[in-house]
Amino acid sequence: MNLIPPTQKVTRSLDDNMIPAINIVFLLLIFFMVAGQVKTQNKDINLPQSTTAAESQAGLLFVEIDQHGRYFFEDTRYADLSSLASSLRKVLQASSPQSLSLKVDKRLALSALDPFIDMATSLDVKHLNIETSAQ
Amino acid sequence: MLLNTIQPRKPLLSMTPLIDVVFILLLFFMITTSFQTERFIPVHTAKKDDNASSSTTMPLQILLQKDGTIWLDGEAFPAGSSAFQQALSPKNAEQETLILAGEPEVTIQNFVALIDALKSQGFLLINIAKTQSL
Repeated sequence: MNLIPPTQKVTRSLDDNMIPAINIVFLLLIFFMVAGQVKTQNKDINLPQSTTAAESQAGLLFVEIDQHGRYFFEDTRYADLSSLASSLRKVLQASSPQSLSLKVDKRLALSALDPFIDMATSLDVKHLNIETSAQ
Repeated sequence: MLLNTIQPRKPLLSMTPLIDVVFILLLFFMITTSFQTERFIPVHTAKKDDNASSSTTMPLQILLQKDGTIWLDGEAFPAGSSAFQQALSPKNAEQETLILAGEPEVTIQNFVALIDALKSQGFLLINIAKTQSL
């Protein structure tokens, strides 16, 4: 008397075969989410190359100047330096750092920094960090 | 006589849409993620009245011209000359204050390259000033 039918060879579905691949994809996803930083990069800025630059600490205030001399701060474009200065003044009063970080295009002429240096000294910013890329 | 013929049904929950979403998320993070750490050259902003007050010795004044000529306290050194590095005399370089300026047409890259050269000689107190013309 056969009470239980003979066990059939289980055919694994496609979903079952994909499980190891899905595991790896999940691991990759978690790696990129944890280890990487999602950044909005201004594509018009080619950073100057440097051999002696040091790694930065977090939490710096970034001002960007692209190759056309346009100013950006916190993803906002500023038409003139006075409006940028008033925005910076508010942020600096709130957090009181004495340093600013500058992302400036390497093809730009040095004279483009003059008004920025004036503004920085008027805001009592003593240190500037010029962001560079590795050679 | 078969007593247990009904197989338990597999749940009809397809994994395929989930995998699609995970793949899209993976692609998004792979494309937008950057592992590059930001690197900076720290400099100071120079005021005209800083020269006298900050130190007892006069800071070294360096001016970079657009053709690469470097002026060090009134003496000119052609671009790439090793005499400039010798003239800097890196004794006490860490305490020496430099005031660095350039002509208006000098590119940022050339200016940063000069800062690089000074830093590699041990100078840490580099002040950048507004552009000057000879």
